[in-house]
Amino acid sequence: MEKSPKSDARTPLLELRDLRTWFRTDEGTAKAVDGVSYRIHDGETLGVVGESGSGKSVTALSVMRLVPSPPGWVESGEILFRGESLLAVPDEEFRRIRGNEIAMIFQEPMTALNPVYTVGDQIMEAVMLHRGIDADAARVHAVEMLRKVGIPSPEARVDNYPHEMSGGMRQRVMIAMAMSCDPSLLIADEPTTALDVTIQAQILDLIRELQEEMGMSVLLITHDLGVVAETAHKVAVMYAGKVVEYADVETLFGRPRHPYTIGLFRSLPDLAGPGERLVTIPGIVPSANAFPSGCRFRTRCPIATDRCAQEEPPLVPLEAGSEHTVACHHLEEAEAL
Amino acid sequence: MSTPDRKLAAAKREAAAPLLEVHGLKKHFPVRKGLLSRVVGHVKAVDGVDFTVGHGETLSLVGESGCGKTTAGRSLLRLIEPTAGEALYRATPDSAPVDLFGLGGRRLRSLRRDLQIIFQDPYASLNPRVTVGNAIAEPLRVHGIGNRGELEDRVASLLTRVGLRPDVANRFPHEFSGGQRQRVGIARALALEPRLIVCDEAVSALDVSIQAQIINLLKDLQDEFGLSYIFIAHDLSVVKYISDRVAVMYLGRIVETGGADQIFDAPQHPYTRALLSAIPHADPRRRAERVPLTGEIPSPISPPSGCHFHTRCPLAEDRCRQAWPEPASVAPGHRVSCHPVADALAKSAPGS
Repeated sequence: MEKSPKSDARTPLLELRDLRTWFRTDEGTAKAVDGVSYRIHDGETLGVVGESGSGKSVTALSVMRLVPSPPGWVESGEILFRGESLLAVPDEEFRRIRGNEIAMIFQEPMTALNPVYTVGDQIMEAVMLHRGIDADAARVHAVEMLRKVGIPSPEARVDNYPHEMSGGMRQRVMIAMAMSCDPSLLIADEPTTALDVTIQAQILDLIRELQEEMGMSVLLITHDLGVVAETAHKVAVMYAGKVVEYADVETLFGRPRHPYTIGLFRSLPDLAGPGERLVTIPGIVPSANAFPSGCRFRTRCPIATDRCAQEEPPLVPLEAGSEHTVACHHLEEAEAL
Repeated sequence: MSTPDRKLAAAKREAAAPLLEVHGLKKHFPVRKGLLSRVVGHVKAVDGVDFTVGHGETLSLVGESGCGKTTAGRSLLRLIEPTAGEALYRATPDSAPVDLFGLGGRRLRSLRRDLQIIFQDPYASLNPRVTVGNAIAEPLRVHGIGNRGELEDRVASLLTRVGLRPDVANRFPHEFSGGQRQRVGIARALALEPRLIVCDEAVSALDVSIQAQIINLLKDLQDEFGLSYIFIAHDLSVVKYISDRVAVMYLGRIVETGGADQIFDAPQHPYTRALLSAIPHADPRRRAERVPLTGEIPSPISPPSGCHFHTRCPLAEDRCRQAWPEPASVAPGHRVSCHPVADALAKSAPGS
């Protein structure tokens, strides 16, 4: 494989341990993230896939300390960045990490960019804050970043307002902003979902190139399995606030083991022959206020038993020492699906 | 249906008169400026397209934002008034054609029963204060069909048909998930027993597992009622799966049209090739070589001269800047609008 992460043995860049982020709602406590653990190593791209309400975005917002509070809070668990607890860092100090060490891009750049400032001003603000350089140097840097993300005539575009740019251009500006402080970790939350497919291809290529050039790690959150297959080294599949399966991309796509992951692949129209019926996962994702007991997927799982209702399956290695982890009581039966 | 069955059905359709024949459809939106709102130009959203839809057939209109696929679909229902063109509609292969664009008043209203639309976001198209039962019954009431008891029965059977329990008729849209709301949208579209449904990004907002449920439902309904669909979508893997035929649009014009397998297995137009190569495949071993497409789509207010695609096309020549290429035949049912590709086809054709 041409894209191999630098190392696995060292301390992970980011590690989540049993993270729980809950929200108070009128219908009770919504356990949007309810025991999530995963790791990202240096230079690695982790794709987190899951459907709406699986908790994949809230997990990322928890890392960035951007969960609206109230109604949300981190109930328990650990977020370790280079081995150190981020949750223990006071707000003041965290501002030096957010945007500098860890940067984030969102699905809709128009809502993430400030409409009353030029794109240059917005990039300059971040580098002046984090790097302590003056406005002239920051402007030079902003132009350089815009050039790097492939904006034509960056010297002129630096004075544009967000509304003067197309969706694809705005996403490039967001990436320029996020990259301007040379972060170690880029969190990309559905970065191409709002874009047309040819522009999506350009943006994914850009993220990959920048990653290779600058050696950062990427946490890529998406519902699109195609985007994950093309971009990620490792994949975590989330369902109802938990990770149900984790593996490197070739293993996960080549031989998924969790009944949910298997069902997700089967329901993709690209894998069905003409005229063949799509295999569906029956029912809908349960509400975060009322997750089923035991295994959360059991209400939609074709092989669920009484045990699945009583005992929650832990996320454990497929075999001793394996990196491939799965949370299911019935792996053998799942093989026959 | 198995593949030979599909081929047979397709052959039968081609022999029969189509449900819909669209010729020269144009929709230009005026651009106004200044105190007096003077017209300073036109957005040529749809700029002369031709297509046909057979009885029981699914035609997909694909392309990126601003290509005009949604405007074309909505013009057919006269939700947007077309600027020019005709749309000949035949309820059955034997009936006399009626031009949808030439109708007014009562005749248009009665024909609208045959033509329905499903939108991307059923939440935005359902009134939050109206129960879903009433929302589904509304088109029946408008057309004066049935008394109260009959309406209730009809709503119950429609809900059952789209996979919902009949007792949900008294609930409000916010009580449903996205997939369930889309089922309500489909039930409402079915209420008047239409012949053609325009599915405007109907599954685009749904999660993968729910999307598969809705696609299966649409296929079942097509088999059961002989429905025709115009499927407007940007997700090409869904289009490949669901379509009999595909028309690829770029900046208001159709650049290539053909059977789904012709378009996906043997794309001819440079834009179609770039578009298909940009689809990310759910297979890490297939990190496909992309046909790189640089730049962005030009403004439809002043589209490029000649072939609209020439500013981004790797094959562009002088004549592409001067004249729009008339469609050339690649194979039966497969046509492409491209000067260099047409030349290559003519050279490789037998007998020349």
